[in-house]
Amino acid sequence: MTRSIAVGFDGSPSATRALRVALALARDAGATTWVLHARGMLEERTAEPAIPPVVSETVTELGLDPERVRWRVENGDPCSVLLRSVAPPVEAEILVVGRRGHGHPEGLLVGSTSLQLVEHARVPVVVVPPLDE
Amino acid sequence: MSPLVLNADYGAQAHEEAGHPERPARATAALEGVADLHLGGDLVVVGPRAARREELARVHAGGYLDELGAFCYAGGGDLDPDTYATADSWSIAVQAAGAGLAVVDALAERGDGVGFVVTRPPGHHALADRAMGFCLLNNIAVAAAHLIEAGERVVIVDWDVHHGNGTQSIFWDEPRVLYVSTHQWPLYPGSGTPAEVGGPRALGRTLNLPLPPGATGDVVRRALESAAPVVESFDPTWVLVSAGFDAHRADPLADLALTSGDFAALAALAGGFAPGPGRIALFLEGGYDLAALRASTTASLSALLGESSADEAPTSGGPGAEAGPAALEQFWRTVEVLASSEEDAR
Ligand SMILES: [Zn+2]
Repeated sequence: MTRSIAVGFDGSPSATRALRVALALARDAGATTWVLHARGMLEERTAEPAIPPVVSETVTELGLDPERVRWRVENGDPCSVLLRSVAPPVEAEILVVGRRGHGHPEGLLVGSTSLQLVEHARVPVVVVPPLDE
Repeated sequence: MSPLVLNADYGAQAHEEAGHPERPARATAALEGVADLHLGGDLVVVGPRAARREELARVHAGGYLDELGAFCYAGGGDLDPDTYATADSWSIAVQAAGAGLAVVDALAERGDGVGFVVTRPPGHHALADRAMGFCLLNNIAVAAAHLIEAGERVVIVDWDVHHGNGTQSIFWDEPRVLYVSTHQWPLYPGSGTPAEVGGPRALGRTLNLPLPPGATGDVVRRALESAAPVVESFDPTWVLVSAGFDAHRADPLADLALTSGDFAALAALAGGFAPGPGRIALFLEGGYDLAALRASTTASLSALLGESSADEAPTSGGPGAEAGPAALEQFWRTVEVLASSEEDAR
């Protein structure tokens, strides 16, 4: 039984698609969804970013128990934050991530969070493709 | 007075993204900081030279080197939310890594002097197979790997305000490199706790000294002083410094409260770890306030060259006075536990 699913969320369209997939998977599995935001070097440090409205809206739309959806901000790059989430407190058993669309050279791991995750993760990774493919 | 061995300018201006704080003016500010020392004949400029493939491959995965080159030649772009590359970034990064090698080799040949490597892009976040945190190639790791290949034992002192996760990871299980880092915590990249002490072959070769936001110079100094016994028992033959100046109180990317006078004191401490002349080199990492970067460069180098000229007084009284010693205690406890579980496993 899957208890914990982590999804990387940066507010982009591809992250929003990944969020929907993660929430749907969690609903079917009865798992907790951890929505993880990687706070980069350039991001403001004073205020903890609040849970984005699109996350709460999607939770309501898919009919999930909001108690089973956790928002978490972690310092780091998106790939490292998701890789670390297999450890407590998240203990993710599945990682979900959106794949960026156009503009990224085909097949290169460099610059691709999703391909790097697939390369390094110790748990299954769900890669959600962009709409235009 | 010791001479300063500086890398030749390799023209990193084309590594630039509009509005990004890791910008060409940083190198100019660091060089102005050198000019402020008025060294005259005591300034020795070496290079430029590109790092060779096999020199990079000591610390980076071959596939990563191929792909990073291909990504840049395809025009570049964003490698993660923080990190950019341009069409020219590959050749510039290879020159940056080469600059460190040129300076270290020149010091070794001379047998005296203090090295300063003005590297853009910076390096200490770059992993064996991933660019991150403004970094493409890990310049200081390339230099350290070059030195241990020649039989040296290298302590890397990383006083950049961010934890040098890339350097730590590259030398995680390498007993000939001791990695010591002071950094703000919590902060990007999220690693760097005292419980991270190195891999099974290199237990105790990673020492992290995380400090709370607002920490002043006395706090950072005390932390680095508390590391002295670990450094002394490691008995290094070389000292390389990841000299980021983003722990300065004026820096926009972090919240430590140092002044240029504090960097002079940190440099003097790091210089004390060197076994003799010609055995210490500073590598520029972060530092995003240009005036602070310039003044801190001058202060650090003058402390190492044997004369003190910091225009800001050292600071004290900030939070975290016990953070350094407490981190060291946790470091020793973790090393002990891991060492005895290694014993049991045998
Ligand atoms: Zn930094």
